[in-house]
Amino acid sequence: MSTRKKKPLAIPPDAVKVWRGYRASTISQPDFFTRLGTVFIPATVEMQILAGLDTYIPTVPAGLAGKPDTVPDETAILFWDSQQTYTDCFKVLACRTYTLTHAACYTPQSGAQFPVLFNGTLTAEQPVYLIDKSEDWMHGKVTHVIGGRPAKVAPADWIASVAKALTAFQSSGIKGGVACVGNDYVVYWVLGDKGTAATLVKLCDWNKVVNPKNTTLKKGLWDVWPGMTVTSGDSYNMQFKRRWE
Amino acid sequence: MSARRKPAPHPVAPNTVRVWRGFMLAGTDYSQFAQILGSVFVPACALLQPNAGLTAYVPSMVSQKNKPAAVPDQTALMWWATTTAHDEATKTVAVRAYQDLHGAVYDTKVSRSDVPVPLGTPIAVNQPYYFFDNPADWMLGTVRHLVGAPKSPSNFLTALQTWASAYKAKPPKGVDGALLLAGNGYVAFWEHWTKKPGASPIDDLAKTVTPFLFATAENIPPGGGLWADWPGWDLTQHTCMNVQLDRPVERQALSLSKKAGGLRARRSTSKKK
Repeated sequence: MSTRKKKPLAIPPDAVKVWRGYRASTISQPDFFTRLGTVFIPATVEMQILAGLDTYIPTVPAGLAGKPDTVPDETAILFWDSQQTYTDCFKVLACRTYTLTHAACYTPQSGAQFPVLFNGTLTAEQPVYLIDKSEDWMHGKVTHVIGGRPAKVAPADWIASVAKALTAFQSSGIKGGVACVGNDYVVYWVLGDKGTAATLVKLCDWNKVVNPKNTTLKKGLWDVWPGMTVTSGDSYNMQFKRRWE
Repeated sequence: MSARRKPAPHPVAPNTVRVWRGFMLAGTDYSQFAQILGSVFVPACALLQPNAGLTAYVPSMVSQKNKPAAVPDQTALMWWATTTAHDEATKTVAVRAYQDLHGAVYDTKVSRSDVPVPLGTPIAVNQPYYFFDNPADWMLGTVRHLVGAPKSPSNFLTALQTWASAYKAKPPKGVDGALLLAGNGYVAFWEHWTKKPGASPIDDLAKTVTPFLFATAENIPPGGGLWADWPGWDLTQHTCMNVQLDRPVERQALSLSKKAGGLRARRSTSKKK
């Protein structure tokens, strides 16, 4: 067997799915946490690495004190080898299975999209990326902001204010940035923060800033294992060996 | 894809099976139901669970033509290595993920699986029964399956009891397993032949019902692994399958066989020396 290290893949900055999930009322909050820890988060890693998943950073704002219902209950960024890799993922059973497991737990309002390169303006629910350069988010220092729109600020003004902040962030020296704004919330991930998270929370009413914890799964798909214990505010930067490593 | 090796027998006790009756989620179109089952659910069962103890899997689709709502839309037999293996399997992420699929396709209030008990008197509704105590490997050999609605519902359970007792007393030669379930408004019966099927009283039972499925299961392997480019099965074409699982027992046998082969080769080499 060759011991030569494979050439690292340059993960494209736009090959990231930006997930904002809202818990369905049919599943209780404790059950939601259990499902995340025992199935969703481990299965995302174990079932999708071989399909081309490169980075997975889930966060669970659900249940945080004061969080408005209009702010997602779960967020995640998932980097793939490429956008096409993600599209091709549905040709394999593991990805189809993983996707269908979500059906009963999230409202139809939930969704994930690829970002577009930020050009100074924002559209509600369209993710953007700020730095057009490949980076390895799994092995970097990530900061994540989840925030709600102040009641006194109109949605259009809210979106404009976030856009103005992101414009400044692009030249702040950060290594990478991904954001998505809705009429009532903002989610922002930054790699190598230079104070941008602190700037963004000033625009928000309710907010939470987290540093995803590097986490390695202890067991595989078929090992006896109860799963992770997930609770409000948890955030993980899942550590795993990519298929090209 | 490499040629499949011959499966090693793995007989299991008759009470290790879960007898599933699935009813579509309200508002689901049948073609959509069959599509999701064929592209995700059935392949996922076949590929996620053998490593956790599933030893045989016989999923079937029931014809929708004039089918009363009381008759299930799908049936399945899921055989496990031991009586506790099914529950133990939920300790794995793979099986938990598979189980989480149910709510997306089935009406979970009426869909159910049960473990059979020895055939007794009287036959109780919604309780599966097994006819023979011996272990059997349902993945190998041939399975025949009948799902139908009784033509004479009023005395059907009595007639079914008589038929079942006669079957058990004088089983067809070559049958080593049989399962019966009387539901509310339907009957389901499976018989397992060690080789090719012959004459059987199942044909007599079929005459007393309006059949919605009466088939010999197609022994068919999955078209790919979990991460292979494979769309799954078209269940409007493959309506009754005996999925040929890649069981750990087979892999162990292959590994031992390779080791033995290697040993033989080395011995042969050393003799030459």
